[in-house]
Amino acid sequence: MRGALALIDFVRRAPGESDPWPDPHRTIRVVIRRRDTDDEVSDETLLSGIALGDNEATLLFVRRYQRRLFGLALGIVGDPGIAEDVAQEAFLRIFRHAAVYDVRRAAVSTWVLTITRNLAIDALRVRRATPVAPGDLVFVNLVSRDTPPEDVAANADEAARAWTALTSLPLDQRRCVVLAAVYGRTAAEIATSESIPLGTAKSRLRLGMIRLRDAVFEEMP
Amino acid sequence: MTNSNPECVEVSTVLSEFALGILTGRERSRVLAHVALCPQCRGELDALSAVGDRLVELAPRAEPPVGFESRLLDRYHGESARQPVRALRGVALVAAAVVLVAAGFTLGHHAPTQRPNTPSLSTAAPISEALTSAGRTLGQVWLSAGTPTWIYMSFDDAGWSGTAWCTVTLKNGHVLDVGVFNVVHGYGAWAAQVNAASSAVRSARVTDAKGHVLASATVST
Repeated sequence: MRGALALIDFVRRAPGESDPWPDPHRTIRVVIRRRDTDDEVSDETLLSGIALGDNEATLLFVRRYQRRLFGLALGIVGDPGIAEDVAQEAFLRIFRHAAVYDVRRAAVSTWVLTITRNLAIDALRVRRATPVAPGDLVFVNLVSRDTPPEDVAANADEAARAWTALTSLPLDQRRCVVLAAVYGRTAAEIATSESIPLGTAKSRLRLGMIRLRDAVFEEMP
Repeated sequence: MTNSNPECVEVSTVLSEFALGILTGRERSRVLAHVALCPQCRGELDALSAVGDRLVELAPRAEPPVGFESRLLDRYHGESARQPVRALRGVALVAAAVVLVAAGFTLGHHAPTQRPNTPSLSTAAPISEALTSAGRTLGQVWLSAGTPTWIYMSFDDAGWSGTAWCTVTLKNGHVLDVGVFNVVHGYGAWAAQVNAASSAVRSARVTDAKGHVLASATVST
């Protein structure tokens, strides 16, 4: 257990399986395995280390996620200075709340990106009274073409499949979905910025999300 | 998802907006009230929320400005200095992490639905004591704060392998079984919930199957 951080797995026993813990003790078995490289340390383990003030875990977590958090913040606010503020604040919140992260609710990546997205949207609303035109929004521009971003193409996994599903939507639905999902625009705001009736904005959003849901969940094993 | 129930049909028109967090006011309240009672619509909401999460994850990555990491860590350590945490080292960090994460895992079962960045549990530092035998440190014991407490033990280089029994003795003299576990090549780690407050625990010990004490720890608080 010395040296590199260990990987911690929590294994919940199946009903009926032999249980070494007498009642009323809970049946969580902890297995700690040594790993040779830090890349194999799970996000959950890093968060646990961060919760206890482990500098190594903190640094590793920052290096693992800084490009994603900054990239998302930059994509939303469009200004590198504001994006840095947002990404830093997001990391600080993650550090503060690392001990209460609940592995059952969401993947770590989902959790940290949601924090970042919400902070970025708040920053955008506070600093800009008038919403930015969708044509100036990085992510909207990205999804307006059919080729995925470099990082997504390189991954060729779930992200690439989600990208394929997104780009299979008609362009108008694609834009509405991204404006809502990434930029937190309400249907009314989308209607205004896209110069379409409110009902049309709502309809595009709903149809786009349903088609994405079908595509994403059909692919799941 | 939706069926012929008129309320389901009505809610389905705004479920995507709710899933993306852009629905407000009365409509939001209406959806909340409905999904609390309708498993079908709640399932659909979960699926749409998962789609929203995937869209956020598609954001392109970007290299943060030079010095991002050091500025962030300076801020973080500045905060930490104002709110000192108990210093823990090496195996101790990972061990205590297990307790904290395990506690979050279990307690989360009964927690109400929350946004992912909302804390819900105490972050009080665990009690840590050395597990010793004849003056030699063989491992660590952790007790999470609160009632019931979580106990975590680790053996490191114990020079012994086999089935071990773990018990805790309370300050009122009661002895509680914690569990049975395996020590392999001198190493083992395990965790379990103990039906007592951490402050009520006086000591913990590990014995072999014949009752010989392999190591023990006295809780100083």
